[in-house]
Amino acid sequence: MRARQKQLTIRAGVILWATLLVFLPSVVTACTTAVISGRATVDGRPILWKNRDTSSRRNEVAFIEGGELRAIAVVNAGSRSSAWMGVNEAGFCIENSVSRDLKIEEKTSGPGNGGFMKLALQTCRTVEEFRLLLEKTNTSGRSTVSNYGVIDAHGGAALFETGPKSFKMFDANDPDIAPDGFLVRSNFATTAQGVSPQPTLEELSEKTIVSADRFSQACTLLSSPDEAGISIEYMIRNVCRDLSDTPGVPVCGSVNDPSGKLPEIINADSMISRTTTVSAAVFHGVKAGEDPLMTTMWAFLGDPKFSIAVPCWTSMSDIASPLVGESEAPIGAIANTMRGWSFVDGGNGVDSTVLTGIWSDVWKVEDQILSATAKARSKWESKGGNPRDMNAVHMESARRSYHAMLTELRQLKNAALTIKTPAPPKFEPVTKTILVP
Amino acid sequence: MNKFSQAILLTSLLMLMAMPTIVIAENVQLVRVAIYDYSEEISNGPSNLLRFLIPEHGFSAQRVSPEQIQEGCLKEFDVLIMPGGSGSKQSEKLQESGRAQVKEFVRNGGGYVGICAGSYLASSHYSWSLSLINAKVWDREHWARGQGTVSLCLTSSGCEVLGSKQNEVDVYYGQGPLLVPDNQSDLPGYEVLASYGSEIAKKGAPVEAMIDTHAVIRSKYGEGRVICFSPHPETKDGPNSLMASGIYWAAQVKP
Repeated sequence: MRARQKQLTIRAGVILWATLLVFLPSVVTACTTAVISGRATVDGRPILWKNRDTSSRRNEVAFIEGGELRAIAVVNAGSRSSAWMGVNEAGFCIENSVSRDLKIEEKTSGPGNGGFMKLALQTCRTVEEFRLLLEKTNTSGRSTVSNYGVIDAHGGAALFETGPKSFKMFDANDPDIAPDGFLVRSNFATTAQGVSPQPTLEELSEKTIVSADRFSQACTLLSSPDEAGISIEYMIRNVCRDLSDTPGVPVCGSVNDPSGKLPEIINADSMISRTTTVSAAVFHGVKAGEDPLMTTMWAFLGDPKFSIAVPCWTSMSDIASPLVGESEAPIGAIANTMRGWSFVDGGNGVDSTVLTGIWSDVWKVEDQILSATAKARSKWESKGGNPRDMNAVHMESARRSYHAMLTELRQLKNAALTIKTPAPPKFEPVTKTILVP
Repeated sequence: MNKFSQAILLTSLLMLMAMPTIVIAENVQLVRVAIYDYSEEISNGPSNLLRFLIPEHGFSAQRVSPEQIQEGCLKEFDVLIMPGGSGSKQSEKLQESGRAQVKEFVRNGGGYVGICAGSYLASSHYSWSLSLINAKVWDREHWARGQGTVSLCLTSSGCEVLGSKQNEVDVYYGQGPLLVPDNQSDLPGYEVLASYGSEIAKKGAPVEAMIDTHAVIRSKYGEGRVICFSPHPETKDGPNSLMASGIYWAAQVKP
């Protein structure tokens, strides 16, 4: 029965995908996100996820200070006016996906999508406080057109479709709203499109909705893990880096179908880890009663398929240098160099030979970091953690990540310099040169 | 031969032996150099080059505009220099007819010297580039990596062609292309004359990306010689002899 359902899902996905390719314009700024209730995860702790798609490729990790609460977030390099995904010291985490169908005709004022997230990180402790902030700013003013995903340190996990003057909350803990324990959003609002809170593929296939392809693929991925539930490792490796050219059908040789060989060129324009993905984050929350400071932000700088995830905590005294940079953070810079080198067809395709080298080396290091962090968190959960320990795990993870990325950069450069190329012409010996005194 | 004549002859011989690489322009065919100049405001390249591309050094140089190239002026020259500025803008201003003129000029034996932007333009990497040399640009994501002095490591060919006795030379770098080989089957490969021995990694560019990439390369396009300089040896107080020798080599004039 389940196999038949899966088959139908894939078929519907293929039809939907084909329809979208024909009719829909591409979205320049977009993202794919999910709020996952503790009831859908392996350890009962909520998870929040975002793959950030935008033209602002240069990102860094930064502390958000000067507010009531201290936070750590992924921001545009050198900018502190907005936060694009982050966590604060109360364990409140937030991300967004732009949803232009929430736009209203009237003139709006107040913080925009990223500015509002910064404000939330500085002021909100819980999902409920975020809801109250939205209520307040319904009248005082916002310029938001976003689907905000939030989790807190008390088990709260919700999604808010947020226009400039109104919002609609969807509770991921409510089985009626989120039957499978998660809520996915890409670049449409269900309230604007008149579909159910977690629409099915069949429901979406009746309409032409921007980014429904990535929405469907994210739903498929979150429905796929084994019975034990969704894990941080699965989110980081299989969701952030998913390469599926139709929902439910991963590219052969990619992380979700490792059996075969990657095609030479991958057209990643509409995939979850796509041409315009510039960073990503997976937030690992805590259970009610646990120390909120343990809430972990796993940050990717650069497109996840070219990069590595590094754990960050809001209690840290410093952010490791590979994750910071006014112009660009070093890990993100290397990821962007490798991304740029792999691009073919004017940026529409990715040369897969670059990817296989990165994956085989970088993922081993990432596995070790995931394992070491899980061990540390487990210790903190039983005996309590302290900022010094978190700082140490972060610094060591960043150091190893940067080393792994730098090694890849060197290898890729050497490969570029030693490529087989036609022989140069033979020239006669030089008989005269010019001396300029 | 009287004593006076003998003294003159001896002095002349001694002078020739003492200054073997200095070209005395009198009675020597000057290399006719066209320096592309679409906007003086963007690049100091043309004025820097005109300081030393003078008859005393064996050159007769003048600026040429995109319009003049489109009208076929290159047939009056031995070599074309594409200086610094913006490669894409250089290409855009040339328009299709100008780009075709440049390619035909080089194909028929004219020389091409690319400096910084002019090397981006000569590469086979961009939709707007001329594909005169089989070279791609490494780390184009961070092309704006900053300016400063870098060290060039010259190969033995580089020392020979550019007339340098030292295989390490300091030079000004101004965001030129980090050249690596391409494998276009319709173009010959290139020979490396110099690589970067140190680097500029500002404005977010990753460290170690620039070191060892190719800084000066040479090849042929049809009958013409092509030489590309990623840095700027033509700047005031720079190693101008390297540039002058490279231009002379590209021009293919008989000594």
